[in-house]
This record gives sequence, C-alpha cells and structure tokens, in this order.
Amino acid sequence: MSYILDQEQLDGLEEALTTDLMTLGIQSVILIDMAGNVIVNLDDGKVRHDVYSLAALAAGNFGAVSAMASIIGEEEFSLLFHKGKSENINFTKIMDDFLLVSIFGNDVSLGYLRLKIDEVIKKVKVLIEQTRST
Amino acid sequence: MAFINTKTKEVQVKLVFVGPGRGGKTTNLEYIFSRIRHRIESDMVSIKTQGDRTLFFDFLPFELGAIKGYNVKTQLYTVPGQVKYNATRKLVLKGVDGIVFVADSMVDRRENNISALNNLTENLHFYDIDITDLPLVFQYNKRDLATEGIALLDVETMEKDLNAQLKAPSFTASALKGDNVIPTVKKAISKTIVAIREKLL
Amino acid sequence: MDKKANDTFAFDLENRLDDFFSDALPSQDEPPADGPPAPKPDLPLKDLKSTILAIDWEITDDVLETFIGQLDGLLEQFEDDKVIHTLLKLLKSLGKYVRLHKSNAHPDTIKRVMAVYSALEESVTNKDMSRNEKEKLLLEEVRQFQRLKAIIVSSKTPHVASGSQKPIESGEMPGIGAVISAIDELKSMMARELRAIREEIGQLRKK
Repeated sequence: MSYILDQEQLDGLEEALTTDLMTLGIQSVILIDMAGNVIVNLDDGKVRHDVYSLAALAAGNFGAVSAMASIIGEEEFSLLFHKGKSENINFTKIMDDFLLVSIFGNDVSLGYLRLKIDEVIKKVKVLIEQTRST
Repeated sequence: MAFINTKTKEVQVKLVFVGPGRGGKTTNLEYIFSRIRHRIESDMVSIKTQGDRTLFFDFLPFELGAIKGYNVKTQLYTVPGQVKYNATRKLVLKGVDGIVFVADSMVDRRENNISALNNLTENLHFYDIDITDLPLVFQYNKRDLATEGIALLDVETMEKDLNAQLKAPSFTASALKGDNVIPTVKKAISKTIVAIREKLL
Repeated sequence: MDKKANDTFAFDLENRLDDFFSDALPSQDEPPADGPPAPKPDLPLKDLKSTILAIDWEITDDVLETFIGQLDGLLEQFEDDKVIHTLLKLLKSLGKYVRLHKSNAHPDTIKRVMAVYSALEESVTNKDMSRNEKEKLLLEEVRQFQRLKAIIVSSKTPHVASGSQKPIESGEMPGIGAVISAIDELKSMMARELRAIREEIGQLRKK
C-alpha cells in the first residue's frame, strides 16, 4: 500500500491533532502508518524521545497484538493501552493503515482521551481520504 | 535463552534468522514450515507489513521429540532486516541461542550483508553476547539467480567478507526453491542444542 | 559434561533431525485446564465501582446510563445519610453533564467523578471515620465541584437566563443544610441551561 500526503493534508492533520488532543495537556501524539513510518509527530516540547524507534516498535507491537487477537478468535481488540507509573501509551487504529499513538500522564483520564480521539479520528480520516479520491 | 528442565527433561532453544532486508529469512521459514506442517500443531506466525516486509518477526515453534530422554523444542524466529527496524530487531534477538545468517548473494547486496553482520554483532553485544561464542551458521542465499543471468558474488568472496574470522559452517542455498534450506536449519539446530547441553548439563 | 555422552546425544539428535525433516506422521498431547473464580465480598458500592472503573477506561452512552441508574438506586438506599446522599447527587450531576456533552465536557470532569467516588467509597466503607471527618470530605468535594461548575459556566456563551446565581464563597462553608441547598441551586441552574440548549438546538433544526 502506498499513499502520498501533500503539505496541505499534513498541515491539516497537525492542526487537528494539536487542537483536539495536545491541548488536553498530553505529552505527545504520533500518527504513524502500520509499517512504522512517522507521519505527524507532536509533543509538548518537554521530552525528547527516539520517535523513530518508538514508531517502529509501536507498529510491531500493534501487529503482534493483532496476531494474538486472531489466535484467540477475535477480529481485533478495541483497546490497546499500556499503563506506566507516570506516563501511559494508548494506540488507536485509524482505517486499516494508520495508528495514532498517544502518550499521556495520569492527569488525563483514558476514557475522556478516547472520547476526544474518536472525535479527532473523524477529521483525520477525511484529511487522509483526500488523497485516495484524487 | 535456552531452557533446560532437568525434571521434565525438556530442552528448549531459540534460533534466529538474521540478515539484510529481502535476503530470504522469511522465505527460509516459510519453506521449513511447508515441509513440516503436516507433523506440527502450531501455525507459523508472521507479523509483517502489507508489503510483506517483516515488521516484527516470523515465528515457528516445533518439537523434535525425545532424544536420549530429552524432549527437544525449537523456536525459529526471523528478524526484520530493514535498517529502520533496528529497535525491533534487537528485541527479537533477546535470549537468542543460535543464529542462521542469511546472506544475499546478489552483487549489489554485498555491503548490506556486511553491515547486517556488523549490526548483529552490535546487537548481541548489547546483551553481553560475543558473536564468536554463539552457535552460528551462514547461508549464502539466492544462488538460483545465476541461472537467470543475475550477477552473484562468488562464494569465496562471501566467505572472505563474512566468515573469515568466525569460520562457521556455511551453505549455498536457494530458499525460494528450497535448496539447502533444511540442511542449513538442521546444522543450526544441532550446533545450538549440543552447545547448550555442553554448557548447562 | 561427559563429552562421550554429548557425542552420542549429538548423533541421536542428527538422526532425529533427519527423520523430522523427512516425511512421516505426528503424535498428539493436550494441556490441562484452570480453576474456579474467587467469591466476591458483598459491598453496597460494588456495582457502582465497576461502572466507575469502566468509565475510567471508556465513556459510552450505555455505561453512563448504567451509572445514573445505579446512582438513583443508591440515592434511595442512602436517603438518611446526608453526606453520602450529597456525594451521590454530585456524582449524578457530573454523570448527566458528561452524558450530555461527551467529548465537549470539560477535561477535568472525569477527574472530579473519580475524586467524588473516592470520597464516597471512603465514607461508606470506613467505619472509623467520624461524622465530622465525613462532612469535611464532603465540603471539600462540593467546593471542587462548584469551582468546576464556575469554570464551565464562565466559558459558555451567555444565552442562558441569568436567573438567580447565588455564588458561594470558597473558604467558609456554613453547614450541611446550606450546602445541600447550594447543590439544589446548582442543579436548577444546570436544568435551566439544558432547557436553553435544547431550545437552541430546536431553533437550529428549523433552519
């Protein structure tokens, strides 16, 4: 699967993710594809992660968990979330090809974050699908 | 990390197929799986991209049955070969007991073979493993391409590039056609298990 | 390790590998099963607790309906305990707000829900807690609740009827009776807002 995203789409994605998610005070939001390539990388400016390794591992992790789901007879899991002492990671699949990775502290409720993510995904889908219609 | 249960008399080892991207690691496992699937229960697990590039690993476990009262279990893994997946590759190498290095015989892949071997050495070092101490077998894959007029490195060159110091057993092969795939993995399993038994028992 | 023993092992291993990778037929064995689940102690807030935990993970209409339904049941059950009753009412108010606004709810709302629930659980389960301590806990939660309410109200555009907004000062809290009437006041304010919002939606639909 290949896709091309132009500058306008990327800017739109950045804006949507910033407005809807980063403003909640979360640490970072990374939009990647299922091969682990980084599409949009936003953070609060306070932490410097090796985002490329993180993305590759996130994609691999998601792939591994999806394989586990198949083994137990599930089509997929609706929640992939890792809880840390002070930081947590949530993975959300967007269409079949993309993954939204959110890193956030304990001051943000996961349930509420997921509500916001559901909203922002609608915008992300529209932006990405602009490519496919051309 | 090899596991020997002296009570239940089980030996379990982890073998990892390593090498440059698109070199034939997954093809090796797929061939092995096709040959043994009628006698094993588990399926082969592959975590890969839509473009069929290994994303995390391929995994094939099987039991060889009892040998001298020890039940021998083997787990074969491949790693993703692409450079950008190094963090993942390192993860899959954790606890490795033996290596099959699948080198790509195509002329323009010469540098990739060498950097993949260097990368392996580094990643093993991360786990305090010296590559010279680890059971290892080389496979010089894609030899079948010679018949299609594609320029291949000769075996002497590949030996010099990759095996000059390690002096490990090596096999020319075609994973796609299944040539020498089984002898490669048999040698690797045998070398690994014997070494483990020597070390642990 | 005995080299000779290892050599014969190696020999047998080689033979086994030869057999394995040739063509022959396999054999089977099965793994065993698991045990029974542990019995749960009977707690009055047991069901509410699971709903609260569910809300922490995922906010859906179903879970919020269940939440409010459970609170209604508990409100009846704890009618006579003013502190617990008020805490339950706070939870219900917050729950209804989230159900209405969903992702547009103020980010701190769920935090408040968790905090109020904590206070509720403490009040219900801690037998050693004095009446005084419970009231203090309640007052703090009410204060936080009103602070959140004020933030939410002030960030809305003023299409709401101004009505009687009796601001309660933080700092000195008079007593339970006054607190409860303050809560009722807030509730009617929320009800007015809801009506206004519904009217506006009605207007927009007509367009």
